[in-house]
Amino acid sequence: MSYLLRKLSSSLLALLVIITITFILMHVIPGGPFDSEKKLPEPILKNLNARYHLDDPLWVQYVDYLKNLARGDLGPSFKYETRTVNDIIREGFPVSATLGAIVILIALFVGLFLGVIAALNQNKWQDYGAILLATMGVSVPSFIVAGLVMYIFAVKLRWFPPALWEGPKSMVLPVISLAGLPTAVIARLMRSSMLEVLNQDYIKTAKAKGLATKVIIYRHALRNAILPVITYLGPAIAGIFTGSFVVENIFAIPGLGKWFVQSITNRDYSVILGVTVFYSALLIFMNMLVDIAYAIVDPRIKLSDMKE
Amino acid sequence: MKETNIPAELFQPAEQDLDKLEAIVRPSMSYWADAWRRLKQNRAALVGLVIISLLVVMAIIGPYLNEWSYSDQVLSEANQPPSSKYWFGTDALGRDLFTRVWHGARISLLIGFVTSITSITIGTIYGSISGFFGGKVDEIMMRIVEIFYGIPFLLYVILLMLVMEPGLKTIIIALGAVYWLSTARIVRGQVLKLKEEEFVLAARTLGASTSRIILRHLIPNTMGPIIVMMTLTIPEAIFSEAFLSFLGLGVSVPKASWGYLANDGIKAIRSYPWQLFFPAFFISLTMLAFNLLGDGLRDALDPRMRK
Amino acid sequence: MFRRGKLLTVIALVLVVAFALAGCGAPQDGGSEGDGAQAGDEAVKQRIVYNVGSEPETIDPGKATGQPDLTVINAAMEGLTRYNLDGELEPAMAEDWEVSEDGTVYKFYIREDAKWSNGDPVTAYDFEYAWKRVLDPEFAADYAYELYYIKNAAAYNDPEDKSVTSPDQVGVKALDEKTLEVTLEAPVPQFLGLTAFPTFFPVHKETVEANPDWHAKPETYVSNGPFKIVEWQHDQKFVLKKNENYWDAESVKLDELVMTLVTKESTELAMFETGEIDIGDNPPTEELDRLKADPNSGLKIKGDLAVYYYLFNTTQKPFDDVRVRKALAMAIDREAIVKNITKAGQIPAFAFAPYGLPDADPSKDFREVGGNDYFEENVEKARQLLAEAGYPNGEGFPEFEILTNDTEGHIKIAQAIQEMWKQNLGIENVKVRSQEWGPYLKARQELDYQVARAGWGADYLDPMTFLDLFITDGGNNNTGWGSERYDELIKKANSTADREERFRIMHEMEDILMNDMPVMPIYFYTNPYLMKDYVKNVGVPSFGPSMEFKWAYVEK
Repeated sequence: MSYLLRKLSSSLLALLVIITITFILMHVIPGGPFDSEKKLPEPILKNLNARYHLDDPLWVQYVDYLKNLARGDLGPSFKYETRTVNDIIREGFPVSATLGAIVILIALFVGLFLGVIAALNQNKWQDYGAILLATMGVSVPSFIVAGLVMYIFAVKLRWFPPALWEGPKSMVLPVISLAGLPTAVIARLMRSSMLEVLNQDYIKTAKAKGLATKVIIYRHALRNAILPVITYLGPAIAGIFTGSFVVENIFAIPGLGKWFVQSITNRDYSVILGVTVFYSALLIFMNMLVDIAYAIVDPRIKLSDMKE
Repeated sequence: MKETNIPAELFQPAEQDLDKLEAIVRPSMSYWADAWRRLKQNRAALVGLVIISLLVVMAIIGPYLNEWSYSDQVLSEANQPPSSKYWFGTDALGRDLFTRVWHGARISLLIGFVTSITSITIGTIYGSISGFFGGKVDEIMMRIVEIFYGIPFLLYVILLMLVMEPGLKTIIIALGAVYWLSTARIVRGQVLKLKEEEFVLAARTLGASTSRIILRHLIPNTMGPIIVMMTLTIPEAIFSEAFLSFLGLGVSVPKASWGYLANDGIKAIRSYPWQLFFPAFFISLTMLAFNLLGDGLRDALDPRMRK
Repeated sequence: MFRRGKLLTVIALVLVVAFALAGCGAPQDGGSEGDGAQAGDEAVKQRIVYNVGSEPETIDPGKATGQPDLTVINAAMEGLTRYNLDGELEPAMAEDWEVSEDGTVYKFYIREDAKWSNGDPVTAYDFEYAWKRVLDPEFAADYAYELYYIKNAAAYNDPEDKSVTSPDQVGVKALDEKTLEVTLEAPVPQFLGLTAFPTFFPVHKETVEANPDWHAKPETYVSNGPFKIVEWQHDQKFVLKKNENYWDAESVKLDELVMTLVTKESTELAMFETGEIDIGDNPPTEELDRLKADPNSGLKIKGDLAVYYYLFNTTQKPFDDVRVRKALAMAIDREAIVKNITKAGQIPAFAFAPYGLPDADPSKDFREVGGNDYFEENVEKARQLLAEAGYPNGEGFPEFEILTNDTEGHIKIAQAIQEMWKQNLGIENVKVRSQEWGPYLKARQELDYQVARAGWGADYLDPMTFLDLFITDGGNNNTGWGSERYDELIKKANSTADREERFRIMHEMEDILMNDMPVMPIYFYTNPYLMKDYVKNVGVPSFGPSMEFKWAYVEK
């Protein structure tokens, strides 16, 4: 428990540093939230800046932000005037996370399967086949996959709707576009670490003792080989669950992903900070889970060793 | 039973040649020579290596193989399909796609290589130090990684790109500044696991210095995952650059990376499919090649796989 | 030793957390929408799905600026007047009005049967309240300046101007329930047209006073237009239904109007081609040739009141020399640009104000009267001018950049122009610098550029909306150019009530502008859009909202 407490307090410190870095960066880049092609008259700009307290000195804005954050208030969006950042996250995250959960599930099942098959049949056709399949997942950028599947399955074959978030049918194409990469990564990591594990002495010992191959694989090899996958999974979940700009943009999905880009384009300061804080917190949380998972799976690592 | 008669005098002490006694039958091979020997045996990896070499050669000579430069426009011949005049067709401004694809190869490969090598190097050194020392050092070092890690990747890169002048150098710096983090984490995880293994204990008992343990024992033993990371970082860097191009933050026009070309092409997929096909094909081919090579290297570099 | 259980626990843990996080995110099955195609023998469903583009920033009429915002508001609300399908101004909330002799005082008579969606009557007080709300500095409305023609409005809106601090001094007053009196600073002929613009729409006073966030949700959105908003799914769609309380409900034939919020152009086209939407107004340029070739594609192209041009930074060498500016303007091939790059039938521009603006005689076109021939494309002459300016064959021409924002189309045009200047004038050192929106605008406004891309669309149906950009040091001038004569003429045009005189002045202004050429016109925009043939009577205005649905219906 003391591990968790320590971890929590240091995470807060990390968050603070992240907020500060982001705050500085976003104020260094030129432009502001009220830029428009038709330039607003000075008094109107002044009114707007006053309304959103952008006329306060930066450090005041910074302190105010932290104060509000402590109360769980991420502030209003400067661009979407009736929406708060809390609203944006509350509405967008579940959508991205649903999509992400499906993607991760598929990637885990397919990726682990391919990786293990490849490792057990090293340098045989199964190995090449699995790796080729996995490689295809990392070979094509998601915007091309998304464009292609929309053209083939929505426009030509009419099997699935081309866009919007309306029921399970509309999830298929985005999932296909997103799943390739994590599947490939998991398959490759799994193959690689599985091969390593299979070469370890305790596996040889087990073989020498005459244990059945199946038992060796399931009882001994898998459990140790999965460590790198778990390491990958933590940040991957945080990343995938907060959405993908490309896929959400192409399939018009009301997720969180687009805000990571759009907020900067809009110079919507509170949204930039808000999604950053949210992502960071999620990531820290997921990494904590990874640490715990490590300790559970690998008896050689104890939580108490993890002093961070 | 027949008795075999061997006279005792036949038994003589063998000549003791001290030099020969110490000799090792198998010729001594350096780590890398051995790796190369085994890489050569891996056909898929060789194919990957050959493809990469060909791509690099084409990136160098490709733009000079016909009369057009990557920026020459013939507006009246925009969007022409591939022909004997324009081998890969032309784009929306009537520029020769063959030249542009190979010029794009230079940019994409450069971004991929430079970003990947710098970030992997930094990440590996950082991660192994952190994992090996553990304790306070690990704590502080990982805290720093975690802080950087905690900033959403894309947002971070875009902000960095906007703070600096847009261009190739900025892209490499911004991407490199992000990618070393995951390498550091993975290497640390591996080292954490490895340092409790017997051979490390043995080395330490024998009085090996810390840097020797890290460089000679820990890093070579984590090469597998590092190589996997590297083969994934190159496409990732190329993809990320494509994405930045898509946001208007890529290299400055009329230069174009593969990602930029592909992104241009996907919009025209129905009317002018060749504009997508060529850049997308070469991106995929490059990724495939790197992955095949990466797998081969992985097997070749893992000391425990030595036969 | 056997710890398989733990492994499973971990995987389960990860997945449980994953799904817990995903939580309620599963989409409600929107299948009810269906395709609407199984109608068969049923009467045709009076439902149109239109992709309006990006999510509106607000649907408060007082604050709206973006086109999606204006389009949604225009469907749900109504001002004193409304443009009909022929682009003529019709009485709307006001059934009649009177203008004083000197053109500065308007009296609007609100129609008796004008009602809000909650049944309350629309009153002159609602208008007065709405307009003063927009002008309130604390309300901080972007388009408050649209109201600056009203007496004391600008001074009241400016917190630093202490001459007017009370809303009572602003020249808008409800004389009684149904009479609204508006006093202007000067006789501005475009004022009447502005009353059809959302910034001038009324709001339901009681609702707004009780709940400042009334426009955040459809439930509290009290409106007075042909439709009422029943659903707003952020980043997805609006659903609007016919407003039975609308005074002209008879003319409204649509039962349901859905506005989807899809930003990606290629996605919009896919949705149009699969029948998910009936109208879309952003067909991708890359596909225009294909769509034009197919008579059944649904592609339509309409003229637009907007001009695409390049700015010269006239405070910098060599662009301070009018000969250089003219040479550059004469050395590009506009026809090649509109034919090969923009592809939607845009018109090469040799003047600043686009076609479609009425002249002194409203049956004539300002552009046709003034002519689209202020200069010509002539490479020989351009080279000569450049040589006179000291750069024969482009030799010695300093290195410079074309600044554009980072939208693909703009970058393509910039590259084409870069190449044309190179080939035609021998100017080798041109670079294209594409920047993200914020830095691009900042560079433009601070004159931190040499040549920059710009575009301007009409705010109202009058050439002044284009010409007054170039008032000395104006916020949208961005060229550093200024002319005393020009400034004087603006003032004169804005204070005369004589229409003939006013248009004579505006033609003279354009003469001055094109003679000095601080800007280089490239083309007049068109508005390409996709519309199914069974959709009838949808208006495509040239400014303000992107589509007008009041009279729309479906006929299959």
